[in-house]
Amino acid sequence: MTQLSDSVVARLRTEMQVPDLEGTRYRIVRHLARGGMGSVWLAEDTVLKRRVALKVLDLVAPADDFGARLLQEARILAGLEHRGIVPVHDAGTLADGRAFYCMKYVEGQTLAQHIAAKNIQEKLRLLERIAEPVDFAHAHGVIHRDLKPENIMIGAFGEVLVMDWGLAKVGAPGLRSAENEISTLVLLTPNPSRVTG
Amino acid sequence: MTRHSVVLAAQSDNPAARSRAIEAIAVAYWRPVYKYVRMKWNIDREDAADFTQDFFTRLLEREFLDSYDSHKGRLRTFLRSCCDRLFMNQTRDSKRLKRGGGSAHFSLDLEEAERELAIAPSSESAEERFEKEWIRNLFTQGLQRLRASCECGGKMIHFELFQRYDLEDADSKPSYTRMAREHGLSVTDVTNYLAFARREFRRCVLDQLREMTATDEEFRCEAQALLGVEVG
Repeated sequence: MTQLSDSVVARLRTEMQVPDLEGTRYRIVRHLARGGMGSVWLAEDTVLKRRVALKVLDLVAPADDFGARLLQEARILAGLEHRGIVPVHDAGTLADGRAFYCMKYVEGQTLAQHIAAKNIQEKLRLLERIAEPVDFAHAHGVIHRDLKPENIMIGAFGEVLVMDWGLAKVGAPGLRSAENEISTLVLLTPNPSRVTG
Repeated sequence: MTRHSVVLAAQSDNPAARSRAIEAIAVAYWRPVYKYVRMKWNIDREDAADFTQDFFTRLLEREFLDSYDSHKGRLRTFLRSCCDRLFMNQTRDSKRLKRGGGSAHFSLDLEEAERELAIAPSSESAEERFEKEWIRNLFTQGLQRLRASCECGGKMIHFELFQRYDLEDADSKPSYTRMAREHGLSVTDVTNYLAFARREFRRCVLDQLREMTATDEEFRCEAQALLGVEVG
């Protein structure tokens, strides 16, 4: 059998990672981002004719453990209906055995990209809007546990969405006030007394 | 979990099983080894071929693999370091490439290997070439498995479409419409047959990789390395 060229091998390597969407309503558009246990893909929902984001487990992740975690993440999101939390539409297992869930595709920037040119007042307003869904989650016994600028999306119309709940933990209902205080303290540490106007 | 691993078989006390396993390792690794030594030490093709034969003969004689511990590193990294060690020892002892009398002989297609070397990017290091050759051989063997599987399952048309579309360089691949016309199929059939072949190819490559690793942990580590490339 003829040896494969470098360019064919490179293409096959890429194609091997593309989720097998056979039998689903989705069609891959492109890769968006990589996470700890999988990737997020931009896809088209061919029934509703809209773009969605698919979070798909890595091909070789330990299926039992990570598949369960991905499903748990989807269920947590499904249980947290809030304008600041990305809505989940669907979850399941693909033809290649990988767990996935489908969520709203948020076009925009991460907080890390968005915040650079903002002044302190704008940053604090953003912080307040980030705290809203976090507070909502805490009120429902859910701790995000991975809040960082890369996991906050600022949408095209300025909407703020908390993403990537892969490490979220469903805790006891009594955690609300304590968690809020800790988050607020940590995030306000850079001298709030300097804020004016 | 029971797994068939040529690495474990290569370390076994059963001479027949060990011989088969080393043969499989040689098929997978002779090109990486040959091209690595050609590039790394700039030796001529005859010396590189002798070195490669010698290397795998020594593997067969249990010179290296008995000390391989999959918990300490990947097989391919271990084999590359064994190449370095063997070359250094032979150079130091001034007895380089003198073995071979009565030893096993592994089949090496040097002409093709040399053609491939001639078009390798000049900026590439020997280590990078070793990695690329390892991946290329893994995919080539995955392809052979796919072909065998399609032959057994009466799905050679799936394999032919895959070969024509996915194994051609981007500028020479035919359209789905053209393939459908030439094979007397609908475009939807072509799409479905290709999806099947791609799914099977992925399974074949991962099965091949599983056999070429000693533990599930090493398999996952290698698979991440294989699939961990940035996608567009």
